[in-house]
Amino acid sequence: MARYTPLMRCHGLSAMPDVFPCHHRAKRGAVIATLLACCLSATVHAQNGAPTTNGPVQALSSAELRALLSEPAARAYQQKIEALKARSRYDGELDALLDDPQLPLASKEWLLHELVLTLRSQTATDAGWRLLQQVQTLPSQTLLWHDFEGRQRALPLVSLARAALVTEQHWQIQQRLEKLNQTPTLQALQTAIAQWPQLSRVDQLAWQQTLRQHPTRWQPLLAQLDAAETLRNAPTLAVVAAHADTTFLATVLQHGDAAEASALLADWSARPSQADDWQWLSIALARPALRSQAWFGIGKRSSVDPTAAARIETAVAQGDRDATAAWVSARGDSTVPALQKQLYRRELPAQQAAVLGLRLLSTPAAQAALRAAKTDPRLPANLRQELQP
Amino acid sequence: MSIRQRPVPLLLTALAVSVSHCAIFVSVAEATQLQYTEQPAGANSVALGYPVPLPIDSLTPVAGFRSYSSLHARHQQLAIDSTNAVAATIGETQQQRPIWAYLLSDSDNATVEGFIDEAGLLQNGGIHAREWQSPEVLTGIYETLITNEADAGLHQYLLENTRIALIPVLNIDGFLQTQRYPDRFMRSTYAEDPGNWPRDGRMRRKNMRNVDEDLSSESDNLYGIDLNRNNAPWWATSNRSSGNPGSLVYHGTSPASEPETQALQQALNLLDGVPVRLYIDTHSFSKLYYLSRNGNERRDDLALTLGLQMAAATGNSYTVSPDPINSGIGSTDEYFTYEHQALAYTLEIEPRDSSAEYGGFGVTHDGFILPASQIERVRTELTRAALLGYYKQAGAPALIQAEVRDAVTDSVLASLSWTAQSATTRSKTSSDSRVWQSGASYRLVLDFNKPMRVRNDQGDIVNYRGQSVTLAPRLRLLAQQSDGSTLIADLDSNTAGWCQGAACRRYDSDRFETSFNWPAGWDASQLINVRLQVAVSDFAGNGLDANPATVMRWHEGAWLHYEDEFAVSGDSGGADQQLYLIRSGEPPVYNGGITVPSLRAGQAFEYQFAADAFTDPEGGPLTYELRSDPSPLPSWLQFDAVNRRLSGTPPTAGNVSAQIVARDADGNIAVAPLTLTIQAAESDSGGGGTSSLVGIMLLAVALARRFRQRLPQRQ
Repeated sequence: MARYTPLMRCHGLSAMPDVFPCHHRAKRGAVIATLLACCLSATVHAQNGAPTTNGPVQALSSAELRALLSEPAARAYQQKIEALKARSRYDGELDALLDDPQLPLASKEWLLHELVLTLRSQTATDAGWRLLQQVQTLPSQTLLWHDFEGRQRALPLVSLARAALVTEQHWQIQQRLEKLNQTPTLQALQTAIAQWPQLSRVDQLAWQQTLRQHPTRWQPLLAQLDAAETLRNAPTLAVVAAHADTTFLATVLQHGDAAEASALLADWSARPSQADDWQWLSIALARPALRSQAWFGIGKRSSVDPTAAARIETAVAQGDRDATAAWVSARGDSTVPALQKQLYRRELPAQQAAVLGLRLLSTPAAQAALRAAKTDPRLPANLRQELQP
Repeated sequence: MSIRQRPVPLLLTALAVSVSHCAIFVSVAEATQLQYTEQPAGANSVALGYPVPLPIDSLTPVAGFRSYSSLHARHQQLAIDSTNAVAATIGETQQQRPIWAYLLSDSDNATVEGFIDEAGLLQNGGIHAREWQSPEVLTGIYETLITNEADAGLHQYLLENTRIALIPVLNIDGFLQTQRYPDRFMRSTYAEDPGNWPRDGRMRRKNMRNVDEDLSSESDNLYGIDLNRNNAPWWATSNRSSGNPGSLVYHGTSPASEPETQALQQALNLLDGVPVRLYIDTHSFSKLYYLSRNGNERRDDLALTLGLQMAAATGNSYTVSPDPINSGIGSTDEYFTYEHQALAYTLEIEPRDSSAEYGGFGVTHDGFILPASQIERVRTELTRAALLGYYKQAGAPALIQAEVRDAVTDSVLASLSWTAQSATTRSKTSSDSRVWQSGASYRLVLDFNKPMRVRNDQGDIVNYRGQSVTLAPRLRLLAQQSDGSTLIADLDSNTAGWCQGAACRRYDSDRFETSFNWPAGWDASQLINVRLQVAVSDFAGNGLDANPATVMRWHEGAWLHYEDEFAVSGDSGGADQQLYLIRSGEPPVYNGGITVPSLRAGQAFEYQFAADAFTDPEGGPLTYELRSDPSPLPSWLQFDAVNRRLSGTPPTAGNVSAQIVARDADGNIAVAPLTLTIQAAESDSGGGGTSSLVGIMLLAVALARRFRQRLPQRQ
């Protein structure tokens, strides 16, 4: 069994080019050799997530782990965990796992981790709380060798304390959620928004989950709130609300975090077409970071929504490449005649958009259109250069 | 296609793998298909602790990961919009999808100087399907280069002087499979994997040979070939790849058995025959540059240096990890290292260990699922690093034009210009004068063949991120007096001298201007040669190619014709000393060989040194004289300067030191030390050996002194 060795990284190497003036080749060579030795040693190293306790630290291969887990004691615990899944409630039947002196450390960490994950789909019990509290104090002392492009690196086998904390938090959230779902009041919502930065992580996540799980229940109350103010005070809640309410959606698309806004737009774009879609699609079109994505949303609607179809076709005719890509993506070969016609318009952007559309389609019909245009003397030479399928 | 969400009996799984192994890891009541979620959501979910990124349709960059179709549309759009980008198919995937590469370069095949070959550079992405960071970074590089193509700076320089081939997604079939199931995967049923390891769906790594696209038909989900184990020369030579088709690192049936591997090799054709100088295979995760080494010491040194520089240029905590020599795993960087002598890297994008680094729960393999909120920064950091690598491998700077003008009249008093004549040579035109007045003011203009510096948002000259070069050139006047002695005067220089906008030759900071005064006490009429020494490196630390007459180029993993100020070719360059303000020709050169055999007291001798013991670089005639050094010449010693002949009869034993001086028509001299060792008359005894030893020592001292005199002073 390989032993964990202290981390050996090549700290400060970024300064090397300045440390070695070009003339000092001999000195440079010697130091490079030292650096190589350092770096080669570092090929096998533990990482930031490695445990920092004073207990034994070991690194296992997958085969070694498999062998340990196939021992009778470990198999017995696994069967108990499977049995627990069938019961949906933990009453301390695996507490012995914590202090079993016969069980190798790696097996214990693996099994405890499995147990902690299993508890996430169980009802909260006193025995479960106690176990989670205890596991949170345990270090993760086993590393598992991973292959990173042929180089072995040892990473923690499991993150016991973190997993236990997440499970505990999950139970706390479920308890809090039960209360929130019983009494959905506007006042409670307003108070939560006003006090959002001071709320615990559990409370924040519980509020987000109740809105996510019961959008129709909360939507009438959300409609009475100031979306912009909510986004300022409770941005994560506003993003969840935006999945239920188009006013919040518009606000987040306009002012929200780019990653959140982008994910939100993708979510709404995948939904069936609604009458008020243009309210938020127009806002997304106006935000440069979302503009192209918004066209893809419009493209998807263009087969069922005449307004969307008219709007995207106008943009394509004007040479908008984002709109063109979205249009051919949504409408396929049906766009070929229009794109073929657009090749002969005078404006270069419109012509280029048509070329892009036909090339992206890459269907037999589109390729035939490109081939035909390539030899058409009516088209400018510089455009014909781009016309290969 | 269907996504099964209900528990799957173990029996189904056991059909594909050994029951004895999987029973250890696969729980009997658990589904083998699981779903990634942000927060815990039941038995069949794996909570990440952050939103699960889903592919987004958008041509332009978003704060997230784009779908393959929109990435492809973006690549094609840029190729249509720009004359500096050409789309080309380099092969087909296993499922016969075209594999696209993009050649980013202007339409000619030469640098802006003309004739000179452009540098060949290649970067690959998306070889492993689940590493979504990689296609985004390749696309980021592509977008950055094209959207800044007319910046008159780094980007324009690269497009006009290099050939950059980018393959944004090599393993398209696999990538599409991961995007088909962006939040789903199969719990590994492979006997050698731990049971909580994810495979296929979002976690597919390999290509799609013998695999359907249906995640729920599990018997084929482990199959496919690891394209980064499918390469010569180290294919199937280590236990870091496997011959088992179910292994995550299955190497296939032979080197380059896979069409995707063949396509990567075909991409070299886009470079139009020039050798590839740099190859980067872009992966995740580990936050480091693996560097392949092949024992070619110069190549390996250059690769380590550049790797460290790129790591520093990320502005993040990337490291470099060199590989052992003469072994490998069958990866693509080994192929380009051993078969093409390119500097080759496997770049592993962040995170280092897991997404716990961004506040995630740190579940196994979540490093492959970078939170969407991080990708914009990652694109920026790794584009910056890649462009530094491209710039450095484009080649070292050369001083291709220089002028000294009168500060009042603006008339050119000395000049130098190099013009490319072929891929390997430049021709020089130059002028000089003797009008220099002590204390008078002059203006110096230096033109380089690449942008030498970058600027910050305020327009100030700064170091490129993570690099540290001296920002202002070091300028010196080196004067040679008729006796061979040297004068040196340092000229003032600061970063304000770097050009900007219309004041430049072609690119920002490719010209440096400064004023100087002729050094007090330097009488131009008494000086034989005065030349300018320019010591400067580009922003990647490349010193000047000090002899532009021979164009530097990449050959067998190192630089050819990359000379320093001593005309020694290597990989570092040096100071340019080609601009003469006063030129009387080069001094003669002593080639060695003047050695008088041991003499004997009382016996006449005659010695003629060879006609080519001294040569004149300009091919002019030389005259000779015999000088004392330091004692007066003995009266018995005669020198026939016309016939280069020494003669005489030494009366007594001893040693005589002297110098033979060769002088060209301009008065430049070269000196050869001369030592005559005279042994006692034949009746005498002893002492000769000692005298010879002393003579040799004196000769050595004299030679050393002479050598020191001829060397320009090192900085």
